[in-house]
Amino acid sequence: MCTLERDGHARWLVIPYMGPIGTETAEQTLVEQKRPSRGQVEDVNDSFAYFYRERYRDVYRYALLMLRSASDAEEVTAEAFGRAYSAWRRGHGPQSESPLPWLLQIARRIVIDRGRRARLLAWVPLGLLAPNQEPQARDDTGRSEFWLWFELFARRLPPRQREVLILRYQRDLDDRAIGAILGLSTSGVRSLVSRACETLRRDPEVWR
Amino acid sequence: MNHEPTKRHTSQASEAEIMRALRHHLAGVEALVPDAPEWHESSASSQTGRRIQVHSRVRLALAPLVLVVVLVGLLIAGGFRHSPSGPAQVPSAAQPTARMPEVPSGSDCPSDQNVAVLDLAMSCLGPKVSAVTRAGSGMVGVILPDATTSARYTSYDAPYLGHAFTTAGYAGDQFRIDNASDSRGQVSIAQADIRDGARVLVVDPIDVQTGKQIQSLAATAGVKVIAYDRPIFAGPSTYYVGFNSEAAGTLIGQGLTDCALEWNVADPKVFELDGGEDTDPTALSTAGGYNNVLWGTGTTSTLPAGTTGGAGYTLVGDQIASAWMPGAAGSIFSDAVTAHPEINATLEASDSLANAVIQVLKARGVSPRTIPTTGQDATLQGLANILQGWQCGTVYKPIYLEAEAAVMLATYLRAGQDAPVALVNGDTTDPTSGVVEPSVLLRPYWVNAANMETTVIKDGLVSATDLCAVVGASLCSQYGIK
Repeated sequence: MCTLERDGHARWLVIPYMGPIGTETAEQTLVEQKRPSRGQVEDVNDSFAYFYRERYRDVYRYALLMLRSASDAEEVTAEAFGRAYSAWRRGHGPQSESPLPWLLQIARRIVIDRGRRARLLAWVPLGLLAPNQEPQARDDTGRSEFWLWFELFARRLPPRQREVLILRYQRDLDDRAIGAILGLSTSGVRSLVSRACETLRRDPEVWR
Repeated sequence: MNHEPTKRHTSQASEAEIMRALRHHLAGVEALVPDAPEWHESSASSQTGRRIQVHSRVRLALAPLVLVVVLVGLLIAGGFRHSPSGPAQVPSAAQPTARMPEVPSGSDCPSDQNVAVLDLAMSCLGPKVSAVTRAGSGMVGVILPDATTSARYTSYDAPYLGHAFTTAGYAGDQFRIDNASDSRGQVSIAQADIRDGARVLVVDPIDVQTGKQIQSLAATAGVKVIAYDRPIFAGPSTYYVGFNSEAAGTLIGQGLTDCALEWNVADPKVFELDGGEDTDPTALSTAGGYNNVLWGTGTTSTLPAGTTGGAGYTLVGDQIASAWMPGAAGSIFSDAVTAHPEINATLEASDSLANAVIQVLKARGVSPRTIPTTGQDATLQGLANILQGWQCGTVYKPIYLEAEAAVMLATYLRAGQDAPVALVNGDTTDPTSGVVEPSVLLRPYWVNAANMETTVIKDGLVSATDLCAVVGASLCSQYGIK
């Protein structure tokens, strides 16, 4: 039922009934119409398209929470993958085994650039009309319950404390990877998290 | 979590507690995150890149103009917005990646239903285990391989597990189901789960080493581990949930004898094609099951030709398909049937092996419903062979049973209670190290043409459309496959 694609994993016990993937049988031809074969998976694994599919949501989520706008998040994510792809093609891929911290570093730089641009705009006299330079959840994100909560969360936490918690929420990142993204040591990340938790302890309505 | 906390309670909240609560809130963002739009590698740089470059160039060239327009616009609007992008676009809702297979209805739950009977839907058992759920605290973390390993994890395991957790009375923040494509990903999920207060980890390890590594992390933190579908064989607090392979063998043996009667096979002269006993101990226990039915001996060794069983059965040959390879199986059977044309019944330990034999039979001009074959796994090809009269039936192992059993066992372990003996009903032994893992060994099912619609099709394992595309509408309608 489910064993064909498990070749290579613990075959000695629970992965029985496996044909060799390389052998062309009618069954495999049928199965392959539905799922990628092992060889295809390996090809995809090596390709940027695989990481794009796997990690799009992660990059988008980070951008969305940082910018609080779906259209901005979409743009930042597209730009991050665009930059990542051209770096990848030039052979400047991620240093570590996992591409996620690398992708998020790129996305973070784009987010920061946008912030700078926004701040620059804020210097023109009319910018004085802007109540603050913090992004607000915009109309395109909808005034959902989530955004109402997130606005409260964002108001109570300074940007870096907020960002470290957003990155902590990303499950595939350990403190070392978060440190690489934020330019901090592992202990720096931990201390930032404790400071964020301390802030939240004083404001239980944010998280209770 | 909804009650107003006392000041003392709040000030003492641990980091893990805050993170857990925060995670619960932040999870609300998931519904707002769309799946990746289509990516074409060949056009990636030319499309995505160009789009971005054109954007930038246009932006640079038009920046002064845009600035003036924006400022005038803002003056008119009387406000200021940082809006460098075009009109707002709401991202499309996340596209469903998994189809929730139909979970058997629990509308007619017997009053004496208990965890000893795992064959019924969790909707029957859920209310009975919810007291145990309430007695426990902390989280259960589930770590699966991702969709590139097999479509089953996102299409079946994750929704079934989620359903089972909810039915057993878990709140949304009391369980977490994740998957990862590699060992490193699985280990970091385990670390995050442990950090966030998991009491039990349900792990389908991507490979043996990952399983052992996660078990070791869990053991250090006092977290119990359930090896889901693939045993880990490490640590004193590790359990295994999977299917009983000896029972699968028994079903194959009985399936063959029933079929031989139905197809009027007189004095069956059987050729037996065993699974990869050289590499896979489950192949051995499966052989024990069918040998017991056919020859009255539960031996797992290859039997000599001439062995006889009840009802006129004679064994013509018994061979192992090394590492379950159908390619080798085809030539093994081809040689056997050339040397012994009297062979009029066969037993195969998997659908792939059966299909290899069926190809040989077809090449020899044998008609359907003449020489039985058997199988295991309920593959699309296996099911097609059954409907077309080439194969008697196949062993089906419903994924939802595994999901439900894992959740039930996790519930007992999370509450610090001993799991009922009826649940942890056996052991699995590592043939290499001899480590024994207490196990929930689930009952597999025999699927033939008569019950295909009510089992694999109803459960959504194989879609009727796919199957009927292979066998044709008339066979589907003959067997009520819809």
